[in-house]
Amino acid sequence: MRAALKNPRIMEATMIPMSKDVRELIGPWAEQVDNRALLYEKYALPKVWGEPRKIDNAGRWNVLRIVTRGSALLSEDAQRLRSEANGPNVQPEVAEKKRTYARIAESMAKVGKFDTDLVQAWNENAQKFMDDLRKSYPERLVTFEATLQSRLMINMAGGVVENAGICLDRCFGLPFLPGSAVKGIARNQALWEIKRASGQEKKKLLDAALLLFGYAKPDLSRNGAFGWAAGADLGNTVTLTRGTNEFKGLACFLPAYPTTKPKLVVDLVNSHYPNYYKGRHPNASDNEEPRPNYFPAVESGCSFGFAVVLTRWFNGLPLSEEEILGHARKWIENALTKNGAGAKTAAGYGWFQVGRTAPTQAQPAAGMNKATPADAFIDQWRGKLNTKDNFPAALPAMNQLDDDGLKRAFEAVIPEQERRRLRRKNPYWQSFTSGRHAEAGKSILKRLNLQLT
Amino acid sequence: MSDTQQNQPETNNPNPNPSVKPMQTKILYLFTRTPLHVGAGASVGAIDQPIIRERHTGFPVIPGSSIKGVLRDAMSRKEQQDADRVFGKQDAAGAIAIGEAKILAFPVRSAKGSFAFITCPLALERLRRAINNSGEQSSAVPNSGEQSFKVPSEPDDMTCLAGKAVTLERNNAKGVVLEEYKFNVKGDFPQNCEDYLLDLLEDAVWKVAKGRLVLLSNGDFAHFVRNACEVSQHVAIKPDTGTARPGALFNLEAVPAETLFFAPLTPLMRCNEEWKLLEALINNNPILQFGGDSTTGLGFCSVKLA
Repeated sequence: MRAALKNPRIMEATMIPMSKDVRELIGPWAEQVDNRALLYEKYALPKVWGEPRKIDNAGRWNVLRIVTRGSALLSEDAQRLRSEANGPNVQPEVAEKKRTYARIAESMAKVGKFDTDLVQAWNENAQKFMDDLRKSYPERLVTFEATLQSRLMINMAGGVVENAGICLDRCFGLPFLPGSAVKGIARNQALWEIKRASGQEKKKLLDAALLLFGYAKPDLSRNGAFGWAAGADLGNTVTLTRGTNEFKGLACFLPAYPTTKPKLVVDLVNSHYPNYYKGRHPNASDNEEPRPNYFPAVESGCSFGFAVVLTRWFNGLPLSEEEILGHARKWIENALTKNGAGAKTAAGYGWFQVGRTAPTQAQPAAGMNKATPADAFIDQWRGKLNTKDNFPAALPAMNQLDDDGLKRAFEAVIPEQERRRLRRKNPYWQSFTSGRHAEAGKSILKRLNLQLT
Repeated sequence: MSDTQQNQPETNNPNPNPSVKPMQTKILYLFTRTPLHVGAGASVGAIDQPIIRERHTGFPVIPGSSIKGVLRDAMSRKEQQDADRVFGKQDAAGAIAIGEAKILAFPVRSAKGSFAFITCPLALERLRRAINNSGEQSSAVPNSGEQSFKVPSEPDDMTCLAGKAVTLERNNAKGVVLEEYKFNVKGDFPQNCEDYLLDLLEDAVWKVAKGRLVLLSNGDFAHFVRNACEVSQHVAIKPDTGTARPGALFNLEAVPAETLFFAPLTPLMRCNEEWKLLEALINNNPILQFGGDSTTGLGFCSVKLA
């Protein structure tokens, strides 16, 4: 055993932990394995195993092995390491380490061939599933497609490789959105829309959401989901006046399977201040070494098929089947297009466009680049609406924005110190209520429910 | 297991009057299209919400009462009176006996071919016994044996009979790698058995099973159906803060999508028109939902009566 450990090549041949008989059949680097999910979860290269040193690149290579162009990327890594090892002024032990790493990357580049016929079968299967659902639940089904406009990550926290998980179908090794994720984003969207609405509209949305998603007693308490969204209006809804405090949702949110061929890519977060975050430095200074962490993601451009089915129905409900399904569809669509799905949505991941469309930009964070009128307005006027400049000129354009846009624009372009002092005598606010653009200014204040004192 | 062919079909003729042609058992095939969770209540083990299993084998099952409930619900949505006739009501028993759905084929990740459908002699024997009770292989039909299949004898543990699409050959070794285990291939999966199984469903994914069937020993099969079910983590999110609600984490076990079950449906003596109503129901509803967590899309199954 000692002798074997001294020979780096023999050591390398057992770096992926598996039993001997399995290794004989699928190769020491699991090169015969053609199921991505299996490769990623059961035959990963550990950072520390067999090798006395920690293998820094293990995480990156595990991800590369399952992405669409992985084999080529791993070969490039091997080439780069080898040329670095042969460069001038390289310490012998560093050169040896780089050569070892180059051999590992090269070995991992020999991945099994992923079967394209299976993708076809799965896409067809998704289609037939929809057709069968239509037969079983005619008029109780809504289906639509949506296309990724940025990268997507689901179940990132799970999995064998820490914080680099991805939701892959076990059999086919292809990405999808679980039904619980679809329901979750739709419900979250519904709760926020209820929270923002008022009057009759609020009650209508509330009824639809209670029926669609269902509820248990804790959801109705003051701190529960619906209690939080609806407040005092909760007691007056048609649904709840029927006297039950638990109800199973009428709708089933099905998993969204890809309807076009998905592409997996390698992505990374690069922590620039690792020591600061670990509490070792009091300040985040720029002389720390960045520490990249790699994870797989679904590339933009892939379309997914969404379906909602009403498996239960009663007569005498306050909404029709069509209305309920309309709400379900709208909430999923709004969630997908306005908030995104999966992990890291605030960094631009998981954003969709409804329909099977070509991606606008094949880049991460593409969802953030969609220029709405509000974004254009903010770009033009941010930092300029102070008392010195002629800011009332911007008011008519601001008044043209939709409600959401107006709210965002107001917070982005009106200086914070002015927003905190809503005084009638304040010269800043006087330009809203008098002068050439007073009409637009007053309308904005009214739409935002702001009162000058 | 090898001499099962000599076993006589059970002789519980549903109709004692030979002049009336007895109606025969038919088999309901259930192919899961999304993961299926037929819950067994809470547990004190690692899995908070386990699925219901056969006590002595550990195979997942769908109880007959579960199937009856789903069928009855689907029918009563269209016509309550029909549902009462077929499935019974107080002081008027139903006209159909519904058996427990037993597992026939289970998908497992495979090093080659991406995935395999595993089965075992016990599962196949149970299917054959159910078919023998049905009209298909009734002794009244000559040569009916050809329509059925021969149950292969049980392979030793850690060996298998496997299709070409999942068999690896390397360094003079021939085997199948399922998850992290290697099984020596002792021969091809029996052709007549594969043909019979593939003809059961028209599903696109089930057709991919060609060359992917693997016959394991009963014990090895039990290992996978016990330990290779999906376990998914769930947590509740507080809407106001957007963060996880403490104490709301749970994990849920489910039979994976693309698992094949079968259940015998037997018309009772008093059954007449009711059988047609049941057949129409299943033919008009190619998808039905079984088990729990339907609102997050679990339990949608293709159904077929044959």
